[in-house]
Amino acid sequence: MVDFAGKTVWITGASSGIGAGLATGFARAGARLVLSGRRAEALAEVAGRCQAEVLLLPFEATDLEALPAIVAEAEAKTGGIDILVNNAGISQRSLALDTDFDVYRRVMEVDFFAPLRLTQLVLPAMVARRSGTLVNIASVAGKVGSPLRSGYCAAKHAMIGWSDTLRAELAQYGVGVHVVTPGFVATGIALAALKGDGSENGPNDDPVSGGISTDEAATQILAALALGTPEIPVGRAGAPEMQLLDLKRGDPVQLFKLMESLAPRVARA
Amino acid sequence: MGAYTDKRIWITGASSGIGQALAKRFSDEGAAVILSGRRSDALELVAMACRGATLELPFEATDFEALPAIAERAMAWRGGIDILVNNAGVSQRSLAVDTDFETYRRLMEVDFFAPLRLTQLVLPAMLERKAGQIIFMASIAGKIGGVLRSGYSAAKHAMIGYADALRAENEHAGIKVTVITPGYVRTNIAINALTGDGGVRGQSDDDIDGGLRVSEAVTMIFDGLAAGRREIPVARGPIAEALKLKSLDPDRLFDVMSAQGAIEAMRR
Repeated sequence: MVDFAGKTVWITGASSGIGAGLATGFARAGARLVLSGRRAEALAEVAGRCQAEVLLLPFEATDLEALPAIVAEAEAKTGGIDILVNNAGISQRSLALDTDFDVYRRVMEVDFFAPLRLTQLVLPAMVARRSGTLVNIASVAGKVGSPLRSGYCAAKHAMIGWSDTLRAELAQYGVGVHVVTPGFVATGIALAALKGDGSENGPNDDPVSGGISTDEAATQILAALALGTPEIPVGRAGAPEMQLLDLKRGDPVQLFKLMESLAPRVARA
Repeated sequence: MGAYTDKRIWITGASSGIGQALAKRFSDEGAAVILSGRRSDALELVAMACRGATLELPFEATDFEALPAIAERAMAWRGGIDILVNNAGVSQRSLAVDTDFETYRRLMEVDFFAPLRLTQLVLPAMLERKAGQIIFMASIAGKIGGVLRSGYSAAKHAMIGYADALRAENEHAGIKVTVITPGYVRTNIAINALTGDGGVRGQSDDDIDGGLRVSEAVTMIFDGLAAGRREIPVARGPIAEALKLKSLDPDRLFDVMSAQGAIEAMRR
């Protein structure tokens, strides 16, 4: 069992959703926190719920030029990052046919290139120390290509392919790599998701609202991390979206048929 | 005459390797083939080796501004595209800790964004006809995060995630989406692979040189296409076993891959 007490944990996208749930979860486990996100006020609010030493470090995830200085600040003020949780991300709700090329770029930037760059900057110190943990919050969509999420699936698949290589290359340096694949968790992800023209999806009846709570998601993630599980599915046991993960492994052809049946039928001229 | 008589097939990366061999085979089977790649002289040689009608359409895969006009020309040649083969791609041979951020960008541009954009341009006409096929040449690295291939694995995983979503959305409308996952095939892929600083590797490796012959790979691909498979693995031996292991016991596969990572770091 891994003990999180006294560990320094850096969480991106910590101002809401699973990131905020992880912040309070790690705080309860005795960790010191670095909380990042775009909105300083929301981060401060989350920090107020954490019984822990907290450094607030707001930044724009895709301002890649600014990242080296931000990482230097995080390392200088904490003495070193033990666990990096790449949690910030954005989803999509639009058919491929209706999705602008620039939306694909935007989703890949936020969901793949931003965590990649942050990891590149945090990793050398972990390798030098021969210890560290990378936690990449992917999605069931990183395992299963699903309707309305062609760009999100691409970016989350990319995150997982890269993570699996990192795990293979970094195990020898004592750096662990964990991939988390949440199913439906009750967050604002569907509300903030991009539509085909890049605008925000807005209020909707997306099934994520019926998902597990962010606290429950955080509990599942922390428990699996403590056990050293490399791939961590998160959701309600037996829920349909979680069964997709098993189906993808056991019978991908059956899965493809099922996914096709879920695609919205849209009449086209 | 053959299974692809008068089918209009557009192949990228057709100047060498698997793409070149696919072009010849489709041509043998009666297709009209559009050959794309960067090098027009190499495309001309491939065209000469094809029995049937060909159109040479050279372009730079990542010149996104030029792609709409290129796609128009491809579709205008014979009034449409029946099958698009997104085959062009570039691989990588460098540990993640030695790989520049810009190299990751380059791999994603060539291996994901370029085929994505081409697909966007060809798909609407296919949907209007309610028929068409998009073939994605991915890789085993699109299923398994491979050592020395952190960016390539990311881009090929991205391609598969996109392809699977595209299939889910459009199969009911008559569009077939096929993902091909070659393992080691004797092509120039390792020679042309990017190193960490974005340079070209310039040498092959034992895995590729000991891989399937291109002709064997093409036979496996055509058998898979004829059987209507949505996913076509092109591999034998240990790497084919690794693909099965990913399905059955991913944890065990991670152990195997980590052992490989340790070996590569010693070679570094």
